[in-house]
Amino acid sequence: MNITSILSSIEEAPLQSHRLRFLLYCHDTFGLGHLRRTLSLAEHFTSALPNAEVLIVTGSPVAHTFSLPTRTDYVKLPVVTKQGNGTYKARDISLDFASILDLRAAILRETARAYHPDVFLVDHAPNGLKGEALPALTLLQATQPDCLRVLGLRDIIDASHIIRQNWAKEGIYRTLEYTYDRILVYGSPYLYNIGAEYGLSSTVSQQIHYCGYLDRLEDTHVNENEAQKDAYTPSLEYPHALCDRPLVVLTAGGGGDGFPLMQAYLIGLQRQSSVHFNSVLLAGPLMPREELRQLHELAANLPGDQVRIEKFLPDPLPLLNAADLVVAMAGYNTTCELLALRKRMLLIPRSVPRQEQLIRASILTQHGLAHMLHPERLAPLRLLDSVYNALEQPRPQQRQLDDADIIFHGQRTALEVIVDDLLHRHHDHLNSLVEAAKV
Amino acid sequence: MTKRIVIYWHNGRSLGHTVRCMALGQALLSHNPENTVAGITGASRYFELLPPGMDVLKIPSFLGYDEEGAIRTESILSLTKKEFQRIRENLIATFVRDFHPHVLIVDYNPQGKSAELVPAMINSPDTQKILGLRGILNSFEETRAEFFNPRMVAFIQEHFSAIHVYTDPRIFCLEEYYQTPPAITRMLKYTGYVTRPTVATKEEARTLLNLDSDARIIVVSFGGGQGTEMLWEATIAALAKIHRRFDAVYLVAGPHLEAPAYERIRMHVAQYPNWQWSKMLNPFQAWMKASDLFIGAGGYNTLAEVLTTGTNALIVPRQLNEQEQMLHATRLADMRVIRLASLDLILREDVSPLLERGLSEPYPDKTYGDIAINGAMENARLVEALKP
Repeated sequence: MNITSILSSIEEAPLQSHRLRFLLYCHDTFGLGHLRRTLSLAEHFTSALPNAEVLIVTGSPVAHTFSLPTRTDYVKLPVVTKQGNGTYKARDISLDFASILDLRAAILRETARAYHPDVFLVDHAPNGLKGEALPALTLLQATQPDCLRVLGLRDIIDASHIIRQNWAKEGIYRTLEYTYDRILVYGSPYLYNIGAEYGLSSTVSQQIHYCGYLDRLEDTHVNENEAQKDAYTPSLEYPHALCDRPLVVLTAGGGGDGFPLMQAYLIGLQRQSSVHFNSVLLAGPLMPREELRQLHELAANLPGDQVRIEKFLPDPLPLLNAADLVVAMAGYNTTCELLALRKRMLLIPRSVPRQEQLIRASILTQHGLAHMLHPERLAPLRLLDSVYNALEQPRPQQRQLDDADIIFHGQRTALEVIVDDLLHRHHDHLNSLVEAAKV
Repeated sequence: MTKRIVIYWHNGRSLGHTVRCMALGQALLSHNPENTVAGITGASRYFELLPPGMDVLKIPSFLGYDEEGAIRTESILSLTKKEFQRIRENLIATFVRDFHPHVLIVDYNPQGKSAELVPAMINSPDTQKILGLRGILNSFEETRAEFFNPRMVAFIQEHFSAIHVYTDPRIFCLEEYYQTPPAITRMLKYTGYVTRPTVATKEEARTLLNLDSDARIIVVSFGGGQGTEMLWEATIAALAKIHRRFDAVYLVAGPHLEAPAYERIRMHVAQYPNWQWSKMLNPFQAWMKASDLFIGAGGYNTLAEVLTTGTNALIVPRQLNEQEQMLHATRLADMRVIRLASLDLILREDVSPLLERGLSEPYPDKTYGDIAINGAMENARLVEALKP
């Protein structure tokens, strides 16, 4: 069923009588990934369905830096942050973790109660952060049963054995069994089959719909077939012509743990007698100020026209598209963007506390779509060797993406599945009313 | 004693309340770093201004439009007024109940937008409440009706420990102008203007911003920028006539200037060398301090920052429906602290002679003495002194 036929179905249904309300929740304790994914979905929902609106509940401290799609608003929860030992704490306000978790859970629950959503889409964590979404899920299940409860998962969450252990301990298998109506996976079962890897029951597996990867280029004007250095250069008022030499872009997503990569790269550059490419480092808005200062200090020793550091670009796609090589960690969103742009990529994945990036980078490398340097082998000269090597390789071809079953219509499919489920639910509801009337 | 403090400000669009409340938060934390400060607001932007250690609960936002007919506010979401009210009210009450603050500072509106604070206030008897008023509120009639009607006076008396007025009584005396009831007058405490700290001298500002120490520099900003295209065009036309009298001009659009207008003005400005057109300049107070002439609107924060930095300023009050900016700017102009040009004057007449005079005969005239500008720290001191 395509979106046009779904829309025409909706027009005939009483669903049309009010705006379709989506409540999207992403807990966001680290990085930008969850929020960017959530905003991307919101953008598609509101642009594809003129009667849809979105309220996002997020714990992200940087939500205000993003442009919101039309008919979209957000609630920002007090920020919690993950510590080195894997535990969490309130970032700013001096409440113990249990108290701030209760506070966040209560705010999410009250938002759900008052907003009365048609769809509650939980990103990534089935129970929410340490169970904070459960009160909202329980409330909706008990008092607003018409609300479709959906879990959205990226392609890979973590290594199979870790997920199986954690989900058993945290009661997530039970949540999946009894709380959600639908599970959307923004990936491909050919590359990573979540049902099989994470030991989901047949009942739960039947709820899964693989949507394909999210289309990160959907709302941009970037064209992967064109070199866009000219378009990018004036927007940042570069003093040098990026067009003259190859361009290497480094990105570490939000930048919270991107310093070692950037530092190694700059030290590596310093040790070269000459460099035939220019570099732009996207530090990320979450990089600590002191680390950013150290990067600028390192860059100051390099020729000024060869290296530039940007703290944050709201839309990094034009820059990524201008690159001849992107050096990145292997986060979901960045990887989607680079695959869609068919960029040469050198991945230095994060391997702790989750192995998701390591698995993703390994799979892409196996399919010839990326180059990888294991994070334990990260060292300045080795990194630069890998950069030189990757620059000499051809760009990924569309055929390779097709062979790996990588397609980019995640948002569209997600919406189609949701609307289809709503229509079925609605018809069931109408039928039950008719049956009740007969009795 | 360390305190949990909540600051509430309602707005969803303009910058003023947000900047002021964050300045208060910064002072509360620097006065006692053990304090915990959280904001509750419908504002959706500028959280990068949050001082380290302050967090915020952002509730669904109103969009506000200052139109010729009236101020119009509506929700981004398609909720009924009642639904929207309930969702904000619930979130505020939940947060206050669970966070259990020692002190709740309410910015501007005693009951919050559409009385959304009332449930939280009634259900937090152990929390001390401070009402923060910027000083000049609105016209006499409107302010009397909105803030000092008998029911509101009773509410304020019942729930608030004090009213902090963020101004200097020599510039504006609230009880005189609005003839406040005695019960309210007894609660007033003038704290001085609330602003953020900045560099001490023009030389420091120019060094910080990497600006030529001898250059003649003009900085122009009309706050958030919404609906200012005509004002910009008139200002640019006047500046063009005197372009030989300065070396550089920095024009700051503000984040809310409409995108097509931003683009049109960008094209217009591009024809002048040494004119820079941008959305924001940070830290803005340092830019004001570095300027030889600042041209800006008459919002509370702008005027407070003009006073803090001692900037030579030409102020254009640009509110269409409220009198606060004009009243405030007039008081300061009468004291020769700033120059004043009405919106009408700027739009209809050639104000280049006024700009020239602004450059050649800088204000402020210091005969008025020192104005209280340490309001943020004074607020922090008063909050710290509150007895449990």
